[in-house]
Amino acid sequence: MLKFLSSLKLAVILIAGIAVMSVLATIFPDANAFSSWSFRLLVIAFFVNLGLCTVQLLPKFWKQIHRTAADVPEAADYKLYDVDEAAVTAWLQENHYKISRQEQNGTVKIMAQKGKAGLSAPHLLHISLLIILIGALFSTFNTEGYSMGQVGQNRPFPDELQSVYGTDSTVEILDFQTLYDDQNAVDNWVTRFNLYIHGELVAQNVETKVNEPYRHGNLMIYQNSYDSRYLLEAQGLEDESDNTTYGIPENQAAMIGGQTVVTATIEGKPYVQISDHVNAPRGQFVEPGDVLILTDTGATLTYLDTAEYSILELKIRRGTYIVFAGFLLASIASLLFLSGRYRELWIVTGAGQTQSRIRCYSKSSMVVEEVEEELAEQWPHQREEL
Amino acid sequence: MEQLQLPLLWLMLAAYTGALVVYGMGFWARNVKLQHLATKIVYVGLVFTAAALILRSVLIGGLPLNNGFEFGLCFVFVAALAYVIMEKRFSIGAIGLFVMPILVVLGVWLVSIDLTIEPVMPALRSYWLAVHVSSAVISYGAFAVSFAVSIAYLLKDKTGEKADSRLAQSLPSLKVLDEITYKLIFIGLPFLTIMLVTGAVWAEYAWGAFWSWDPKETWALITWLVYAIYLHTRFMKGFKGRRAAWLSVLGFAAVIFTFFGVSYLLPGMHSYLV
Repeated sequence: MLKFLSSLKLAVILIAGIAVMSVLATIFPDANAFSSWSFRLLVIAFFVNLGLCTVQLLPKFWKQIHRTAADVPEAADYKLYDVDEAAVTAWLQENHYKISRQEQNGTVKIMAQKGKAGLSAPHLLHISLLIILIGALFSTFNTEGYSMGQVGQNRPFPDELQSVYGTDSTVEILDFQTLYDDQNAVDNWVTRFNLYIHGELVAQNVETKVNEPYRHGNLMIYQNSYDSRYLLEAQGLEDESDNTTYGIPENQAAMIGGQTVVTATIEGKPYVQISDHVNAPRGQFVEPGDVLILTDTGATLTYLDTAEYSILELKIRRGTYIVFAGFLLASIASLLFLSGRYRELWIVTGAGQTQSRIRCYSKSSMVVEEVEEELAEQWPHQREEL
Repeated sequence: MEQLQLPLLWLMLAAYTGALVVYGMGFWARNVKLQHLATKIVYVGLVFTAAALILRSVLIGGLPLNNGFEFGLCFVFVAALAYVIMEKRFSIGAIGLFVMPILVVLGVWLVSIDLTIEPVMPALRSYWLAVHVSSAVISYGAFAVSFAVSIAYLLKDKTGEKADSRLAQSLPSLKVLDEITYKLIFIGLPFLTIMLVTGAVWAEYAWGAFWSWDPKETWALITWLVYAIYLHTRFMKGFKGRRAAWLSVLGFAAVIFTFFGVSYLLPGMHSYLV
């Protein structure tokens, strides 16, 4: 059971499962697959598999990096080179091998190792993945929502965050600006605000902008986007509750007093169109203070202004620092991978002998071939295998 | 200067198409000299690609990594560069026959899309962009060539190593093809890892969330998982040969879907790429 739980076969099945579930989640985004318990269980199973595998491999790794000349076997697929111990040792040192030497009964054994950093890379990567998986699991419990408001408004936190912050936590918008660069392109949007948690002011006159979210503990407030709204005040409608100020988004329709009101910006000027679905729509360019006839009973719409609303994204984040610690370790492991493949040279010779038996060991046949080519270039009088 | 872009792209496309034709002729005639000539044409294509990149950099006043066109151009450059480096190192001229179609298809796409220079959107105005996107470009370039080598492997494997066919005779041995694929993936995966990590760090810094399960992020992770399986099974179990080549093909399919499929079919936070 333990063997299966730590097996590569199970790892491949679980990774494939995560990949397939991810594919499905991008095709059906509304299913919220990544915060489902089936996905979490898959991640937990992979964590267990990788964890067991890592623990099982560590003793072997430890033994391998601490190999000495005593581990050089007497009999192996050695090749005979015309080189004495001094010359081969000098060559090994020149090529940055770590050398261990043992002399017994006139026989000299040398264990030369290179690429230990590369050997540690997979193990470090395993550990970093375990850390990332823990953080990722925490982050599946993140919550986020949007809050929209115009300057002067004190907006409550989105519903999604109210289970943590209650209904008395708010963002009071003090200012909202669009910033332009020297070529008149939009450079950024900035919202200045006061932050209240449970009714208490915890941050005063702080700002958030694109690429620079505001952080307060686990809470993050991000400048997500902005929206323009046409402010139209209705008067004279039969139902008194309808006589209020409406904020209608650009290029969208709203029903006011049984009429469809559509707003747009045409050639940079605000335009309002009213339709009763019987007669031809009536539209006109407007300026603040302009009054439009809404119904034939005398109800009117007064265009007040176009207001810009700041749309803020509020998130509660979990597991971020754990994931980042994993990322850091994974980056180190990736660099170690590039430091070169591990190889060992087993050398058996004798004091005063002019020949040495040498064997290269590596998991990569290409590395073995490369090293053997290097050896043959150094000491070309290679003889037949023993 | 902006009008110079398209002619340069056409010259680039013509060079890679020409190289493909000459590789094809060399393959058909079993003529090594033609293969060498084709490789020289690839160098010419590489020069035109570099010129187009430099021109774009001058026009936008920075690194050309801001949108789909610029990424695609860098992708072509790195894939062509990875090929010529591998060709020089392993003398694998015949592989050009499999790499050039990728460059030609990308070239056709580049000449057909809008080259207008738009202001960079606020979310992309960050130094992280350079590290994040350039590491993606390097990994994609390496994976493109590894895909081509894997296709060559699978075709040669099908016809038989010692058969008297053109494929068997002109392509390197299966062992060499397998090793080249491995080396390219071995280079590509760390860069893909860097891309994912820098993307996450940037997203955390800029958007306050290191991971949003955006379609592009998710598919980049899927790509990473496929190549991670490739390398892991190779390290641990010596997984080589036909099945490894198929895994490499699958990995590049994920790369292509991440780049094109997600951008066109699954818009999300990375939609500005096209």
